Amino acid sequence: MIALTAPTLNQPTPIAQSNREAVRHNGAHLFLQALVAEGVETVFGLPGGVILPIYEALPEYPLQHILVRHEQGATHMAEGYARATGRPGVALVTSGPAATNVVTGLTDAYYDSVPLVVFTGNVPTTMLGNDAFQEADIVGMTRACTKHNVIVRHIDELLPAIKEAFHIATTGRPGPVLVDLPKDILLAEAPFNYEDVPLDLPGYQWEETYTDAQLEEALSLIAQAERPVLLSGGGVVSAGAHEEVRALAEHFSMPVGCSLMGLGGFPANHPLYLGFTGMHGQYWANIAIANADLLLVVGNRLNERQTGQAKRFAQNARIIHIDLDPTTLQKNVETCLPIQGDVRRVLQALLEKARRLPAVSERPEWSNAIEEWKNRRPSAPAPTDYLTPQHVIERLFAHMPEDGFVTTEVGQHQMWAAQRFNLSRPRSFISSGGLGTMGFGFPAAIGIQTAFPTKTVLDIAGDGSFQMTLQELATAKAHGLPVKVAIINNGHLGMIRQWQSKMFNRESQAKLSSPDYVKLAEAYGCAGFVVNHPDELEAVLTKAFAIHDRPVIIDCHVLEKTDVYPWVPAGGSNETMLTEPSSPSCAEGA
Amino acid sequence: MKKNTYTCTLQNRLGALDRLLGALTHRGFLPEEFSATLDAPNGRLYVQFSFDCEEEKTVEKLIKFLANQVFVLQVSALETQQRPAAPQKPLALRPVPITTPEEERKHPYANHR
Repeated sequence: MIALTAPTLNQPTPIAQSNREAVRHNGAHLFLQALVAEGVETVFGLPGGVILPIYEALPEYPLQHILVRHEQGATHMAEGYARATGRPGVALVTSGPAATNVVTGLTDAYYDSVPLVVFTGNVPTTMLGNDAFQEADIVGMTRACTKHNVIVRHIDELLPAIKEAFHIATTGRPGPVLVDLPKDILLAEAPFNYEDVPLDLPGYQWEETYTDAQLEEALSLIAQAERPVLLSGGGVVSAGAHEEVRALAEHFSMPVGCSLMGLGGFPANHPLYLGFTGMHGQYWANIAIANADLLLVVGNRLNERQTGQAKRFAQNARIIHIDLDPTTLQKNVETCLPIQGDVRRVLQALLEKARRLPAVSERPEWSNAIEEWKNRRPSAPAPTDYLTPQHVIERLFAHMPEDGFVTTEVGQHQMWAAQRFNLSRPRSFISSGGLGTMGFGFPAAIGIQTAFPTKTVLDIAGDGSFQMTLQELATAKAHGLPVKVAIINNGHLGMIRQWQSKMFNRESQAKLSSPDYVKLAEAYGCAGFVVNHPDELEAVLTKAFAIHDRPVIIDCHVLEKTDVYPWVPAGGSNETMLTEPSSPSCAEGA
Repeated sequence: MKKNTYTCTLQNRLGALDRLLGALTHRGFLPEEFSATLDAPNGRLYVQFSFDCEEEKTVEKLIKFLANQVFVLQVSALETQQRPAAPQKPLALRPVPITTPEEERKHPYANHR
């Protein structure tokens, strides 16, 4: 019989009492001490075989652990936490299938520039390459969807890897970082000397190349413009440049449109607010961009959902593009003045110069034209005796307090929500923009609620999306997180049905069944409501928004076949967007 | 055809080379020449690669992406050569030559047929 010696996990081994650095700790303790040193307060995770040393030590540290039901949920919760707070989100999962389950969350964070640090376990270094149980080359798999990733192969590399991970995730253009921790690293011992750990990243420099001459030129172009528009993107929100955007817009009386990621970066109740722009953007916002003689793009990567057919995007305008990421400039749209730098600093410098010029108090001709487009294309659908998704979403926003948070899943409801978003704070609208991850919104809402336990957090969901991550109801209930989920239940994968019916003339596999969500909510110990008719909506929403001690599901049975308009079919130009069938055609109106 | 040759200086860390190769692969750049030199004492890896690509914009996007990677210190163009256009392949199918029984018997794989 072989005698097994249990590893000492939670007791530091004193080597020399006089020297702080000589006190050695195992890798699990070093890991947790490093998280505390980084200011981490919350970790979203799920324990498993190879990371058990960390879970054994976890109770000794001031870290809130949210136990998820699926690792994808952990990454989206960490994303929601990060997007709402601006601090890095942290997820901790084990090896093999747990590690592969984080790939979607990492990719989502990669496209939406979210500071995320994900720790995965792996088999001991001696077993790597042996096809060991739950071994996965997760570093190889996630190389293309992380800003940086690394496997720690020696205990001396552990603290530098963690320090680099947080530094890289949160600086420059934020993004996700994965650190893979083989089990033997968590059991090996080393001193904790985090403050003294150097960063060895000579190639990682976010230099700003903008010049004074560029700012002068930008100012000159803006001052000359008669029909300017400012397009505010997610970079404004993540850089905290919303005040500067507002000040610049007000100084030049410049209407402001927001991308999906940029919503909240400009107050929705501001008279200069144009609204949501792009593929399903407001009619008047897209037409204003098409007619602008100057477009100031700030913190936006101008992808095809934003621009439509790139060659025809804002073709009457001189485009100034400000972004921190040099790879974004001149990538999709040729602009006359690309300016590379932190958007907040660039705007501050621009504002300083702008304030020497007289302010433009109003642009009557330009604002009248926009007002006329607004009146010609009201965004609200015609009243109906049936529950429409647009009406439900409008009423949901009416019930939202100004300090609340809204997340969405992905699909038709996401676009209707973006069109009707009415909050005025940055980081208050949180959605999966680049990757378009169905199932993102609910776990993201849980992550936000974790950071802001007393605020109202609402996930506007589709029945298709919610069924992808609904198991996290158990997580929300267990942690007493009163997230509200409003399901815009049309019994379909709605956007798929819309595209199929309009572009392929046949619906295929888009009809979707759902469980009884009221019973489901009750089974999880949550509150559940169903709404079938417009007359029932207000009473249900009033009751649902008054619940603060458990999660709430509001199942709204809306019209099955409602399409999202305006709509720029893929490859089309924003100017030729399709509007509600009852309206005259866009071309005629414009 | 246009031959583009670049040199790339990397920090010699695990995964640095993979990211370079991954970027080439995802964008469909098949290297025509590829060589790497290691300066181990200084922790630097020098990579030189060339590929065919006519579209300057596509190349520019690739190089910007590479330059922005965490472990990349520098990317620079070594040379760009305009090559003579490759002869156009005939569009029509050529008739398949008919093999005589005599030729078939001489074929090295004849016994395997």
